[in-house]
Amino acid sequence: MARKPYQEEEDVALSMSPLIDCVFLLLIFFLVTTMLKKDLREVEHLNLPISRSSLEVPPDESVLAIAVDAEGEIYLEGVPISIGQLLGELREISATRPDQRIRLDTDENTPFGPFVEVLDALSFRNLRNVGVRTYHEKFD
Amino acid sequence: MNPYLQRPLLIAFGVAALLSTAFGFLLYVNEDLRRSTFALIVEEETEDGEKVRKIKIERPEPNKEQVREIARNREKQKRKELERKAKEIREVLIEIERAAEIRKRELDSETAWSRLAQMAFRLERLTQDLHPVLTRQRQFRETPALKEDAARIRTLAKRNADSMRKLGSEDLALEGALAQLSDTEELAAQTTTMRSILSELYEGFSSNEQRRAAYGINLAEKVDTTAAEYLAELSRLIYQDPALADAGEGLTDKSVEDARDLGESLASTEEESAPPFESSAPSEEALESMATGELYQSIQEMTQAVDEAFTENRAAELAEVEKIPLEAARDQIYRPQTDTGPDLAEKLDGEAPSNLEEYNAFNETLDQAAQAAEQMARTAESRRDQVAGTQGEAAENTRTAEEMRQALQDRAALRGQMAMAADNRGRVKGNVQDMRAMMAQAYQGGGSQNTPQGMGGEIRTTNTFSQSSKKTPEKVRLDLDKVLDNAIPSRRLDQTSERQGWIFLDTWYVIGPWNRPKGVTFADKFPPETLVDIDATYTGKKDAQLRWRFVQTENIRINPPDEAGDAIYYAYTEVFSERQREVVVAVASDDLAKVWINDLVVWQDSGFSGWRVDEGFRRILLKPGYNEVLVRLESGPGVCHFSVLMCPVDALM
Repeated sequence: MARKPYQEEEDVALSMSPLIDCVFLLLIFFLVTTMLKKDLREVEHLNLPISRSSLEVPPDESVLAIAVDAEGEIYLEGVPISIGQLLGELREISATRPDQRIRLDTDENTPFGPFVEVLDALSFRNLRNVGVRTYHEKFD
Repeated sequence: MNPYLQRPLLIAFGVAALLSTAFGFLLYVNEDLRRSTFALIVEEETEDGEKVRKIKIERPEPNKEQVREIARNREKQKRKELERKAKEIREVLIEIERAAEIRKRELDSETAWSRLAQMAFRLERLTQDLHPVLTRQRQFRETPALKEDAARIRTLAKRNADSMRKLGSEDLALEGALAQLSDTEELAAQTTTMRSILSELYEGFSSNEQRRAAYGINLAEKVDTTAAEYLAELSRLIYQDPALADAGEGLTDKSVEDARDLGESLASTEEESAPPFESSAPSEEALESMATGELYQSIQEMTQAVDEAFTENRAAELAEVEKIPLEAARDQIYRPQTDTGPDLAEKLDGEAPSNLEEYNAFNETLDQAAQAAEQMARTAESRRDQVAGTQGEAAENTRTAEEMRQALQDRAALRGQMAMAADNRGRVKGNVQDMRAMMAQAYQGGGSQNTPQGMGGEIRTTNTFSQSSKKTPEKVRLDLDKVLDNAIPSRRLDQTSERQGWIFLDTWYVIGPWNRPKGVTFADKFPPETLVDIDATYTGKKDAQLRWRFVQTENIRINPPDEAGDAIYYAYTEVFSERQREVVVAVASDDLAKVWINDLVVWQDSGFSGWRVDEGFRRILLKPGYNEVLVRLESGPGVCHFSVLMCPVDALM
C-alpha cells in the first residue's frame, strides 16, 4: 500500500540545524564582504592614476597624506592647504620627524607643475620616505 | 535522509541566497551604503601613555541630554586648545608691541643724536676750512698762539665728529658721553679764545687788512657759534638721560650747568608725558573667563593686532635705517593681513546642540576654530621671528626693556654697517667684502659683543671663525668658463660641498613685475621686502595680479616669468647648510640687484651693468639649518636675469 505523503505530517518538525547553517552562512558572507576600513583622510574627488606596477603596502596610520587634485589644489591629511602653509608644515616635520612616511595622492589629471613643486619641497626638506598612491584593481 | 526534511533547508537556503543577492545588489548600486561605516578603528591613549587601537561601534542615536553632555565635553576639550593658542598669540603680541614701542621711542632720541652728529660733522668741516686760513694767510700766520689754536681746534673737532659718529651707531655709554662732553667743552673754550684773539687782531688791522681778513674772521665766528650750539645741544641730550644726569657733578661751566637744568627739566617733562608701555592684549584671566566664541574672536583680534604691531615695527626699523620720518616709512611698508579664518564666534556661542546632526555641525565648527587658531598662532610666531631678525627659540620674557632697546639699537646699527659693506658701487671687478663678523653678530642677537642675546634669542652659531679662517683676499680672479661649466644646481650644502665647489641656486619662487619707479634706486619698498608670503597676491605693473611662481631651471641664469622692461621682481629661496659655514657668494644680475640673506643685506649693485659672475664677491656666514635668500631684481629696458652662486670657502681656498 502506497504511503500517503502527508499521512505523517504531524511528525514533521522544523529542524533548527539548517537554519543555524543559514545564519552561519550569512555571517560568513558579511564577514567576507564587510571591510573595517581606516579613515584614510582621503580627498574624495581624486581619480587616482591606474598603475599595474604598483605594490601593495600594509596600511599605516602614521603616514602623512599629501594630495594634489586635478586643479592643482593641495591637501594635507584631506584638508585644503596653501603651498606656503605646506612649506611651513614640511619644515617643522623635517625638524621633528625626519623619517616621516609620506603618501602623495594625485589625480590622473593633476598638472605636473604643482606635483613637481610638492616633490621638490619634500626633497629639499630631506623627506625621502615618500610614496605615490595609484589605483590597482587587484589591491583596491 | 527523509527528502521532506530537506525542504526547509532548501527554503532557508533560498531565503539566504535571496537576501544576500538583494543586499549585494543594494551595495552595488548604492555608493552611500557602500561607504557607510558601522564601526571605526580609533587610536586612544591610555593613562600610561600607551597607544591602543579599539574598534568603536556606533551606538544608537543619543537623546537630547546625552548629546548636550557629549557636546559640553567636546567643547571643554577644544577650548583648552584654543586657550593655549590664545595665550601663545598674546605673548607674541605683547613682545612685538613692546618692541614697536621701544623702537618708536628710540626713534625720537635717535633723531636728536643724528642731528648732533650732523652738527659735529659740520663743525669738523668748518675747522678744516679755518685751519689753512689761519696758518697761511699773512694777517694771521704771524701770531703763533692762533696757529696752535687752529691746529688744536681742528684735532678736537675731528675727534669729536669721529666719536659722535660712533656714539650715533652704538649705545650711549656713560664714560663715552662724558668724555665727549669734556672734549666739546675744551673745543668751545678754544674757539672762544681764538675768537677773542682774532677780535683783538682785527681791531689792530688797517682797513685793507680788515677786508682781507674778513673771511677768516667770519669763519672763526661761525666755528665759535657752532661749537657753542653744539655744546649746549650735547649737554641737553646727555642730561636728558637719567642714567647720565647724575654723573655731571664735577662740571662747572655755566653754560653746561644751564644746559643741565634745561636737560633735567626736559627729561622730567618727557618722563611725565611718556606713558608706561601698555599692550592691547587682554589679560590671561580675561582669556580664561571668556566663552568659547568670545575666545575665538579674541584670537582673531589679537592676530590682527599682531599684524599692526608687526607693520609698526617694520616702519620704525625702516625709519631708523633710512633716516626718514615714521609717517613716510609707514607709507612705504606693506601691511600684511593674516588670514583670521572663518567667522565662527556666533556658531560657537549659539544654542547647545540637541540632536546628533547639530552636534556634528558643532563639532565641525570646533575643529575649524582650533585649526584656524593653530594657523594664526603659527603666523604670529613667524611674525615675531621676523621682528626679532632670527628664527628659533622664543625670547625670554624676563628680558628688560633696556636690554631689548639695546638689542634693537644694535641690530639697526649692524644693518647700516652691512648695507655699506654690501654696496658694490665704485668697487673694482672681483672685489671681496668680508661680512662674516657682522653676520655672526646678527645671528647671535644682532648686538655687540657685550649683548649675548638680543630679541629672538637663538642661535647655534659660534664666533670662532675669525681665528680659524684664512685672511680674506681683497680681490679674486676666477676662471669664469670653468666655474660656469662645473657649477652644479643645488640648495643644500653638506659634507660633499667642500669637494663640489660652486653651486648655483636653481629653485626659486619669483614674483613680479612691478613698475620700476624713477629716481633713487632701491628707494621704494615693495611687499616682499616687508614680508615674504608665498601665498599672497599683489597688484603689479599694469594692474596685473601677481602671485609667487615656482621656477626651477638647469640654467645658471634665472629668467623671471612674465619678463618685462623697466620692472622689478623679487625671488625667494632657501639654502640648507648642515652646519655653520663660511661661503663666498657671487651675485650676477642684469640689471640691478639687491640680495638679503636671513634678512641681512649682503649685496647691492645699483649699476646698469650686464650679467657677470665676477662683479664682486661677498664672504658670508650661513647659519646651520635653513637660510632665507631674497633677491630684488630691477630690469632696465632690455633683458632681465640673475643668478646666485655659492661656494664654501674651504673649496675656494
